[in-house]
Amino acid sequence: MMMENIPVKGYLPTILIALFYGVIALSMGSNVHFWVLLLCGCVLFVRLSLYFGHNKHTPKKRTVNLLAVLSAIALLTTSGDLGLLPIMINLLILACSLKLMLIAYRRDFYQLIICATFLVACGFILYQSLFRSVFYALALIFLFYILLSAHAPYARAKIRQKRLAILLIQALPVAVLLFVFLPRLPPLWKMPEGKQTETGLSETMTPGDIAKLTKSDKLAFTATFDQRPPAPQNRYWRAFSLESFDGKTWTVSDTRHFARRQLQQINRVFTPRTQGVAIDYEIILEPTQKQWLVGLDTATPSDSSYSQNLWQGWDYQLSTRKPVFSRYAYALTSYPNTIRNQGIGSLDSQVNLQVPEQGNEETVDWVAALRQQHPNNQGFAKALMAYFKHNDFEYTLTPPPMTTDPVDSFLFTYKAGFCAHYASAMAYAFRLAGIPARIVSGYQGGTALNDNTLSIYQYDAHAWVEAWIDENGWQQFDPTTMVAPSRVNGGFEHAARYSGELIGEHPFNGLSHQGIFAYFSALGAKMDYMWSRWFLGFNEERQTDIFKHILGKLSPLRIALLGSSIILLIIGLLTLYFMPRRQRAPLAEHQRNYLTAVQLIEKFTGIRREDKSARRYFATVKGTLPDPVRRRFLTITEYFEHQEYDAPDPKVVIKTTLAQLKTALKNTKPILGDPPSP
Amino acid sequence: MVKNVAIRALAERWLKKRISPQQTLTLNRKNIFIFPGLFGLFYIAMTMCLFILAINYQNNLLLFMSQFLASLLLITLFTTYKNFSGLHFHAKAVKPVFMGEDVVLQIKIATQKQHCGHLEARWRHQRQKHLIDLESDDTTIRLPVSTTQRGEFTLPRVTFSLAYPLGLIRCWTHIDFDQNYLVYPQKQPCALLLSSAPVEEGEQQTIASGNDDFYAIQPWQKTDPLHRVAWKRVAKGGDWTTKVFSTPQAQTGYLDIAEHGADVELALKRLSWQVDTLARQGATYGLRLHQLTIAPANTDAHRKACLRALAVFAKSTTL
Repeated sequence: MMMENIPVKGYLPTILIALFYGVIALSMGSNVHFWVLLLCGCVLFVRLSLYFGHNKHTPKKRTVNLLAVLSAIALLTTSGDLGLLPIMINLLILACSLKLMLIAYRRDFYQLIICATFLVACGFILYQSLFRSVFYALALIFLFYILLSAHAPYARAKIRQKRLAILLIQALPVAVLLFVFLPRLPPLWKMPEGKQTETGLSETMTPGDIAKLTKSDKLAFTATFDQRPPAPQNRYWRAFSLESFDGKTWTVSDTRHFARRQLQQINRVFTPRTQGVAIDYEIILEPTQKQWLVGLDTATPSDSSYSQNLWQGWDYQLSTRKPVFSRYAYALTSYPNTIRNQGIGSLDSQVNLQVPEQGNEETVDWVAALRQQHPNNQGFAKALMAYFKHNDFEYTLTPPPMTTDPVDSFLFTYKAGFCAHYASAMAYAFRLAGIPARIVSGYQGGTALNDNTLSIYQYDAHAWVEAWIDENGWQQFDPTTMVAPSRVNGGFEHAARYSGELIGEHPFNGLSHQGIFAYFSALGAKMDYMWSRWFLGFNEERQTDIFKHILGKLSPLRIALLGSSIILLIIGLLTLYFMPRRQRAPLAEHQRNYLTAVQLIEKFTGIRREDKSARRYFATVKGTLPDPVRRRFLTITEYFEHQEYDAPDPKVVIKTTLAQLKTALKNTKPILGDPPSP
Repeated sequence: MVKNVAIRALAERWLKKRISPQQTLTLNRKNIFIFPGLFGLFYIAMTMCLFILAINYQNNLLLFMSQFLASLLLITLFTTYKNFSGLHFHAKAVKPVFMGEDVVLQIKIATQKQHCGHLEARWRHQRQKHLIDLESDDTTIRLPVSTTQRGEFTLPRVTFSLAYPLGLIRCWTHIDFDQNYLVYPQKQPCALLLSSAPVEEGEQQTIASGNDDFYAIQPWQKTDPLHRVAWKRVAKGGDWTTKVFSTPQAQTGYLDIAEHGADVELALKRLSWQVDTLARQGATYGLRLHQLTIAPANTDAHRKACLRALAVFAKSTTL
């Protein structure tokens, strides 16, 4: 048991837990308000000064309550743009910091431990890279160390560490068994989609938006191919299409959204007619908080088990049935040569021919003129692409702002922009010419992690155009390639470095391409990839694979057998840990001496002691003992009782008495030949 | 309320069968209770919350964490038990006290190598806790009971509990060390009233001149020894007087409750003081409590018998 009242001064667990909160709050970075961090720091300072006795009393309860009210108001007013989870984290850190100031009883301490565990869990939800995971795992271990220290305050630190290590090592195999073999459950209820994160693709595109995104060097996803990955210019990773345009901003069409929801409800799935070569690959997607998935056109789920969770839309878009909150692994098969002329014709043309009624007058006139020259759809598309190529367009990440009639300003005034500007202008032109067209938002490119694996970063985000050209169906056009071919062939990083725009954004970006830094960053990326693939990506399908591997065939009987053997295995582990060892506890000297004497007497009299008390045993055997033996045995028995139950007295040495007993027994050898019956 | 009492009595009876009263006891499967403490219950609730969160977020890290927390609970269940069982308790016989002093139960706890952490001991149904570090050299615990009444009482059960290593699981036991204790009446100083003869012969004050306690001064007689003369007085020019000391040495007499008025408790208190004082002086005295008469003697056993008689006097009928 821990002590009921927690001392203010010099109590180590309190200071350790204050330290824990400080570090955890700091590690959550931008998810925690700066002022909350500040408060956390102040509390740590208060605790330290209490610990060393500079201050004698904890702050008054009234003061802390007032502080709590103020903090609650501050949190309400400053958290408007935060998601639910960060608000909860802030609240938790805040409440616990205030509690830390007042900690007085055992239950306060326990409350803090529970909240701290929750914070670690939040850390696991927010961050899943290998580095962060290890950090939060260590934090959890530190938490257990604090808890153990509170329950064994007098043990030396080294002994505490050893005991904790034993506990954790014992628990680990059990946890691993549970993790691998406990059946995976589907989500109990649907979690709400998260807010737009700082990185990740935006579902609205106002040209100028992606500029912010391309500067992020966070991982978006990794793709592992069964064979060699496709050539760089073919790596167009579709995420979702933007089909609604108001003259400035492209958004996901409400009609499409509505149609998708209805189709999902009646459980209709689109199965594209695929043709040509197949490319098999697996994707591990970083959390997006959204339902869309990335894939190369035209992607289909490669395994029937995946199709339970994946949904193929009539716009060739893949999505999950629940938002991707954690790294998500799925396997796809893509058929790049498929002619994509399926779909819901009426819906597609209705949505993809919509144009704003006014604005961008210049573009409207220009398209009308161009259309007269090229009545053929294919020819019109070619002419559009050629226009971008031959009119001194410039690729830049920092184009001038274009607020009124943005397409006009882009096409005829500035002629400078990035993928969003080009795609927006081209899709608009297609629509004005009566050709259904939309913008596809996704990623282009990828950095090779090894021969078969590509890492795609947020700065690989890209936008391109799809137009329905007659009977060929949807065709892909990337106007950006006309202006900056290196963007597609060499990847975004290459293009940006070439134009000198990426370097300088981040102090390590320049370094990361040189020597040892490159080596370590590649190693880190590889380890992180392995981590996602084998741990974070361990899902129902992988589990089924393991079951199949062990059992050969999945039958209810075999699964039941597997389940019971896992339970037996856990019981076996526990037995191994806790079976009393057949090792002798070290005996005190008086106990050893007494037991030796008892052995001698047992041998002499033939009466076994069994579970009799020392005194009772003496009473039993005393009649059969010759006087000198009896006297000495009595002394030994009495001494034993005295040592065992009264104040131990180290001065008396019983060894001599034992020796005397031995000689006395030797002298009475004749009796030994004729042992008295018990 | 009545139901409560009935349940408590039932629990008490069950406990008596389960852990019978004994002075020496080793903890084993039969006398250990084990259950998660309040913190443990919260921990379980939290682990379940994390598990549900992990399922809904489909987050493997969180899933593993919740499963690890569950495994740890399982491990501590056994660790705590292992840490508690095998403890060996031996209670020393309690010494009787005068009312107002604390009765102290001294328990020696024999530990083995696997025992560590903080053991908490308290009287059952009481809150006052005593902590003992099982790894220290001296694992003897002293539990005091305050006394407010004279008489003979049975010591309540002692509750030992342990939550090492993480406080999640709590092991406990209620041990009855089978100890009765006597509370003698509080000592109330007064004059020594030792009647030398049986009651029928009338009251007689028998104060013998002894050496110990100064009692009074009386006129000097020729037979008085010279070292008893109050020389200070003589030097001042006063009368020759002798100091008298109240030690009824070697004098046999009875302490009688009848001579101490109607207030029985007060009388007992006075008698208690007198018995204690006389015993200290080595006097021979008897005790008469209405029907009960203890013949004069001056041994320690006699003193104990007298004090016991005072402690339990008229108790068996009133209680």
